[in-house]
Amino acid sequence: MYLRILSLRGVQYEGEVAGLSVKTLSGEITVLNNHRPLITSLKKGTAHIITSGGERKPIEISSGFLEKDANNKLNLLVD
Amino acid sequence: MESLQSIKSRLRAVKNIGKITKTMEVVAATKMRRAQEVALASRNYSWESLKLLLKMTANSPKISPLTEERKINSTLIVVISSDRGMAGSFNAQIFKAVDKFMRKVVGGLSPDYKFKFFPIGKKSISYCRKNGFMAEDVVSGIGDVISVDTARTISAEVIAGFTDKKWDRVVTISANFRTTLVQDVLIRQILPLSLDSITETIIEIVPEYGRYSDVERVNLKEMMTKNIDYIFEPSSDVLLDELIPHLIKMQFYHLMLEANASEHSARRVAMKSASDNASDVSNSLERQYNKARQSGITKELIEITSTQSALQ
Repeated sequence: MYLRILSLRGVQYEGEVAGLSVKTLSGEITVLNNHRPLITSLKKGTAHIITSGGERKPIEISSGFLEKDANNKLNLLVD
Repeated sequence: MESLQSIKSRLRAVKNIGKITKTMEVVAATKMRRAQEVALASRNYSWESLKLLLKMTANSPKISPLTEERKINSTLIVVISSDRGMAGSFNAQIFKAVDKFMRKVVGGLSPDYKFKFFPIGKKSISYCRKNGFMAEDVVSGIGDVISVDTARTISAEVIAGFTDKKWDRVVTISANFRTTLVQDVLIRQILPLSLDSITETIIEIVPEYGRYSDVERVNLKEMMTKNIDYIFEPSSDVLLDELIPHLIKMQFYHLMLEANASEHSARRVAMKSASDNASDVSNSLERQYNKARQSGITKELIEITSTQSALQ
């Protein structure tokens, strides 16, 4: 799954990942490979990028939106 | 021939002007670099957020009131200009585009059709005043540090006016940064949201050449035609209420960043040519001054020698 985290200051993260856990308005979710297309709103908190090696990389998020499209691409727009 | 005194004072004036424009050029160059950096860094974000907006509009089961196309009785024109002048034809270009836009729209319309104005930047405020346009609200003094809060206030007011039917369409007219030497004036429709207008805006942001240029255009077409079965969480209502105002806010923010980058680039170029001109003029004045001085000396010498020969 290809992840791109974008903020107004530019691209914060870009690369192939195994998954991403993130806090959304309706609770914490983990998006894995080939997740169904999803659009949701993010809540303040720490998101974790799960790399293909199984490592968890934390990333702070204050608010934003998440979009998973049909081509296995995950876009995060954060403030 | 002009007197030595007057040439000298002109020379001094031109040199002073040259110094000022040179300083302004350096200041503008520094500001330009920063403004361009910020504008270009935010392009990715604004591009993705517009695509998200496009997908939301295309695939959402619910229709946001902001996409409603009704009979257009009045248009709100948001004119984004700079606060200060001395930027060459930067502001004049924008106002020319406003005039042209109004002329084009007015042709074949009912007489009760109204234009409303929302000038941003001191120059556009005075433009509106000069032409007798009533401004709905004004924003100025944004300066070089544009905050998202300013964009929030602007977009909230624009959206509120649209939902209250104060205006049926919102367009922005502002400068779009392309390169230091080239800035174009863009007319963008912000509201009502329509697939066509968003697509157009995305295309304008996408680089015209370089490695993303073709790819994105193809993707865009795909996006327009293909329906993706999205899950909306918590619900499409909540998302529409939150996402769309946010994205419109970001669009305004991005527009102001682009305008700022364009302003400083235009000023830099204008000041560069002004200092070049000043040094040209001062060179020719200096030559004139030397000629006048020389001819004065020659005249005096002639006088001395002729008096002397008369005395003998």
